Amino acid sequence: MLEKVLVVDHERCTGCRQCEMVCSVFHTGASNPSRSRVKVIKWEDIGLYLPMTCNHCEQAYCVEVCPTKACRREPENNNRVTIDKKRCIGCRTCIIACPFGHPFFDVQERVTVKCNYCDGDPQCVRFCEVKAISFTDADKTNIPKRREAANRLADLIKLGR
Amino acid sequence: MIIEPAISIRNPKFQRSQREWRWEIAIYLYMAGMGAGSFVVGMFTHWLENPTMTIQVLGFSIDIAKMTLLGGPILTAMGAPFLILDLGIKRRFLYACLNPKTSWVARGFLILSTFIILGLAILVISSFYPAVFTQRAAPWLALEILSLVFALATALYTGVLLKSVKYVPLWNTPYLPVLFLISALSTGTMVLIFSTIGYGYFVPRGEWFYKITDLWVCFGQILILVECFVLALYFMVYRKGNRETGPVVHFILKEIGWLICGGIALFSYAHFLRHPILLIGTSLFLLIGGFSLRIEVLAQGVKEQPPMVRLIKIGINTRTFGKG
Repeated sequence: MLEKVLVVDHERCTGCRQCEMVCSVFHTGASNPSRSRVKVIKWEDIGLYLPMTCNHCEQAYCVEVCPTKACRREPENNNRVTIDKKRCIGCRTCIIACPFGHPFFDVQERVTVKCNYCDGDPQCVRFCEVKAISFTDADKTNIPKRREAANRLADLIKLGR
Repeated sequence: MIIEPAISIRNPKFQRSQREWRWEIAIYLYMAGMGAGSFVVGMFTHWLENPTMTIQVLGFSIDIAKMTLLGGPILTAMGAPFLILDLGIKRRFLYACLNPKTSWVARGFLILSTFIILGLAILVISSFYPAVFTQRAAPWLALEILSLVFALATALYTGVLLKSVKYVPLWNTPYLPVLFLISALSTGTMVLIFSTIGYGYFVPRGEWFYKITDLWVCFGQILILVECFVLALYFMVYRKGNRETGPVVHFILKEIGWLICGGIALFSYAHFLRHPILLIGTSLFLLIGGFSLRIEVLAQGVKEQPPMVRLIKIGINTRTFGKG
């Protein structure tokens, strides 16, 4: 099965935080961005917004440090890294270990939560108006960038003529 | 309708110290280290001097000298519930030992549990049946050595747990386990001085009392000097490699510097005067210093910024972003 990943295009993101909203509604039933699995980092002064989700790292430190094996990789599901809520004890070791500061502690459920691609249909991708987040095949992540570069080159060539 | 607490959006301009492990973990690490350190120093004292002080309580003869020397596991056991207190779901605390292959939290759970069980067994048997110690049968000596190894492992573990966090530069250094090991031994020695002088006020002091108190005070002074040296080395190496977060060193030193310097000065003075009350006060002072060291190192653990955030920062500085 071909592996799919979430790809973020920060140039398209407007910082509306709709992804945070739909994520929290989908996973918790509450409209509370603080419980979302995606977080938008903002540089308000220059108008730059970066939605950050779990990278499902090849060498995932959260999996390594989890004392209960609640955090584990699922090769059968897009090679994603998930946290089993029934096993998690809420020690927050994974949050400290993650270089991207991704897993979040859910104050309501008292366990650590993270992006699990919404079981194959990421809601952030579905509801993003400007298509700043996409769920694409891992080996095709740079195709849009390449296409864009090719279009620019073609424009330049046209201008040169 | 339930209103849920909202958090502010993360601002990438500021690097924040970690807030996941707080005072509960600091107490857990401190008590574990202090208990293990006191057990190590107590066990060596027992091997070298073998002090005995038997009193009768409710018809039982109890060796309170052994109880003081080997009481470390009680302190470690008292600290362990603080780890449970920090968990999100406390009733699942037994799950914490399921992944010792890669997780230091799980390894620590097993190391501490083994130390507490072995240490308490030795404490109870030696306090109620002192003859076992004087006879020194080979299996008993083996048990003592094994518990000593686990006590050292416990003291070292408190630093290794933090060192295993790769993206906190203040913690990810080989100096931290060494610093915490020496701090565990010094705070353990202070506990022994504190408790021995303390119970000396209630029961008659034996001949060994002054001998071992002097021994511990000398040992404590050496340990504190070594601790200061390792602490200086630890901060120097950290500041050299981390210019951005270097100021945390000033902050930590500001918080604990006076405790350490005051403790050393008072300790030397108390030793010079041989005044028991002053020694008790100084031990308390240095015990607070040891706790402050742990809580400050824990609280000031600033995580490195994620690579993409650093990249954007570089972009902003080189004016690639935000031109318009």
